[in-house]
Amino acid sequence: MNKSIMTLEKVIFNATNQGLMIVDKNFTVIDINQWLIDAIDNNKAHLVGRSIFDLFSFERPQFLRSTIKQAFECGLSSFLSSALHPRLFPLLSRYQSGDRYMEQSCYIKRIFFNDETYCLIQILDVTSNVMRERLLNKTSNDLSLFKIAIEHSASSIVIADNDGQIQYVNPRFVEIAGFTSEDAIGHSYFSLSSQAHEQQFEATVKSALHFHDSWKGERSFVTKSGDKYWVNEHIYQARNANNEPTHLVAIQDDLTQIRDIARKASYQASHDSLTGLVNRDEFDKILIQEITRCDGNANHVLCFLDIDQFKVVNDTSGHGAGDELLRQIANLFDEYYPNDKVLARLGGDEFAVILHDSTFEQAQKISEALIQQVQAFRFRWDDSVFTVGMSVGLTLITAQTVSSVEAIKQAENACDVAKDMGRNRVYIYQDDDDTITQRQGDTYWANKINDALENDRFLLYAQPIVPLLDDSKSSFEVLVRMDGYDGHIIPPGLFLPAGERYNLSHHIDRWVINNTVAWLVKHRNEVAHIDHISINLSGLTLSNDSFLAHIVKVIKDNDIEASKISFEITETAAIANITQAKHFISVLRKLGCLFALDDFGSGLSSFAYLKNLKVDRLKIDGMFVKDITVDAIDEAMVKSINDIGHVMGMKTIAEFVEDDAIKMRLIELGIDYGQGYGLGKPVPIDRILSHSTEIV
Amino acid sequence: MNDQILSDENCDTLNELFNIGMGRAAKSLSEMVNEEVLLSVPSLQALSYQGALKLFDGIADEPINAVEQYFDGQFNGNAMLFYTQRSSQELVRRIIGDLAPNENFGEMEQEALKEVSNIILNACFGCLAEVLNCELQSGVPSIANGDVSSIFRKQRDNLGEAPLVLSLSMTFSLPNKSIEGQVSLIMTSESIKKLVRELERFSSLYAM
Repeated sequence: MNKSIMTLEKVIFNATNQGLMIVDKNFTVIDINQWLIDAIDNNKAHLVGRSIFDLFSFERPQFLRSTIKQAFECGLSSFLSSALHPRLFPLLSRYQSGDRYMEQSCYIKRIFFNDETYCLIQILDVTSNVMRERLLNKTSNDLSLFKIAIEHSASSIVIADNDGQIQYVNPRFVEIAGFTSEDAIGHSYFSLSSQAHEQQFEATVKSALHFHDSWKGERSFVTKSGDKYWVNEHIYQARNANNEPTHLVAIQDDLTQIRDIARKASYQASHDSLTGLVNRDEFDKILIQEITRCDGNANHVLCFLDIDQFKVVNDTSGHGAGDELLRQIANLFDEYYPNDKVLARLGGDEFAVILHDSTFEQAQKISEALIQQVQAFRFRWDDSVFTVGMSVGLTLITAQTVSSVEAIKQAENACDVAKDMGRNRVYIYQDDDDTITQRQGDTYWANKINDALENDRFLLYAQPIVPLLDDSKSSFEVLVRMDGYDGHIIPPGLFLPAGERYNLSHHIDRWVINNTVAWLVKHRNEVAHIDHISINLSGLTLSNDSFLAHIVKVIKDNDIEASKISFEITETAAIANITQAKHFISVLRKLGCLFALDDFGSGLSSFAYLKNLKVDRLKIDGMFVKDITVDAIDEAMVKSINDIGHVMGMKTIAEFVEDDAIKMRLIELGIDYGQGYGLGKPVPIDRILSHSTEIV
Repeated sequence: MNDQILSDENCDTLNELFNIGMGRAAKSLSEMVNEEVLLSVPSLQALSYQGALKLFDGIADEPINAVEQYFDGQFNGNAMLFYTQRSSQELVRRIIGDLAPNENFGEMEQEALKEVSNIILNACFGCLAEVLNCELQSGVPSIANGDVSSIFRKQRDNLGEAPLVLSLSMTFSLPNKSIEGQVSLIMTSESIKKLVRELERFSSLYAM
């Protein structure tokens, strides 16, 4: 080679941007270029002529030694990567500040020069590549993690450019909105909303983003198939390194479910779970609003409804039956009242309804008609059929109504009066109503009863029970009245319910028995024309053992013909206390007394019970009798009760025989006895004595 | 082609030589990665250039990473070791010890692949030269990415008429994992004839 080329090669050797080193078979450095000298930070004189294994402390010198040997001996070129030989030559990187070691890639190959064999070691600084690579790896690892997080996020995530053109939607968005990525990408994010004023909203959001970099709110969207859904939405402004806005990131959390739950919760909080009607709390709130809204003109009527006989159903057939009864009754109410009513179940068997823009007259008519429907209603449970009744109290809601609590109380009190007056009726609350004023003490009637017991102010009345099919003797049912001091006679409907409530009915029963027996003793010779006297017993009396003993004692002590006395117990009372009732009946029947089952068919016509109750007479509930001439079902009921009674060896008595037409029908049906205004009204008991002229 | 150029006996001999080379490469790789690496060459085929193209298309219908290294001496040609991208990622990840599910096949990974392939090819060349007692040198390795036929076609131009291909399937066995690679030596027909001469000379030495 000539000198000038030598020089040029030498210049290139030293000018190149990589380390070059030539070693001989003994690993002695023959030449080294300026780049590598600089990297070693030494001068050439110190490096040339020394073994590379003296100059550098390699981590695995043996590997390098064999690689160089392989080049010398076999001519095989090798490549040593930075990945597998990190920092092969312990050099500092010139591209990095500080003491950062150089990452290198090395090539080792055999070269020939002047008939000699050498090895060329080429060192490339790849520190920045390695660092960039690591950074890239880290970033890409981070990104894959973020991607996983976004793709599995329970929130919908949408990325749009600064104009709102969608660039990315995550799978959750696809799932909820029904739009695929392809559907969504390229479309305006703001066009997805179901809101009417889309452009206005877009402006609002953009202004919020401009000033605060984020916008938050609740919005509704529409799915691809057109369904509406609600989200809690958070839109962020994404900015680049120069703080210039580049993207919008929207995160949506589906509220549909939460809204549903909230709706359900608020429904549950405001509704009765059994009937689905408004509950007491909610009714109270509504009532408050109604009162506030009342002006001088519009009045509403608040009706308080109480179901009679509910307890019987509950006690005899269980709560399942009671619940079902309430459901059916609630349904009946719901269908009966006009659409704009507010109907609530206040608890137990109590309901309330607000009739808008109504007068007392209208409300009373509506309520009475409803009572008739309730009475006509038959509740079937297993083999039993129950009838129920209802009492209604009314009060007016006006601008003057003091409070919702007060209004409900007024209606409830009126309802109690309706109950006391014998149920199945409507009572209207009046501000100056004595009955209610007195009733409000609630213990009013209890006091009255106690007073009457102490001062002997009960009166005995009697109503004839007339044989329909032959000329045999009539019997009489003894009825109790209260002497009202001021000369008027208080009907039992007013005080007997209170007596039951305050556990006083057996005292009344005792009074009736004692006085009836005394009356029989006193008029021993004037009652030959009377078949027997019938006395009512309450349910409480039935379950009272000492009472039974008392009756037996009174009859025996007075030497009364036991067959002159009959006892009437209601079907419901008998069934509610079936064991005691059976005992009671068997003891007194053995003695010679008669028994009648009262109001048969009213509570529950469970014929099965009849087999267990050995009674002499069945009194068919007047409800079936009074319409017998016009109602085929009633007639069929009466007929079947009569048939069953006769099969079981009982005589039948029809109540509520109000006129001749009914009487004739009953005779045709073969009913044994009749009782009612058409056959004889209740009269003071003395008037039925044989010398009295007032016998019907 | 197989029958004309390489006898079964020659094929067996070559296969055996490559297996020895692979054994050496496996040894150095195991030392490098501190993990047992086994390399084996289950089969060797001598093919026409077209036949090889057809074969490779069948092996890899996805992009590949190929490491090329020329060799020169008593016979010459281009050696190529290629892997499907998935295999090369798997291999490099195991060797570097990076288990992160990274879809990037970056510069560092490519360099590692280049070095591993360089070790394997050099071991094969070294073994051929040593056993056949002939002169054989190799150039530095380089890497190419893309589909197998386009990478392979680039080689075609320098190889005169009717070049031949020695193709070896290779299996890396790492603990719990096998990775397939494909070694091919592309030579002019003239070079193959020289190789055959060397093989026959070698066989005659031991046939006696």
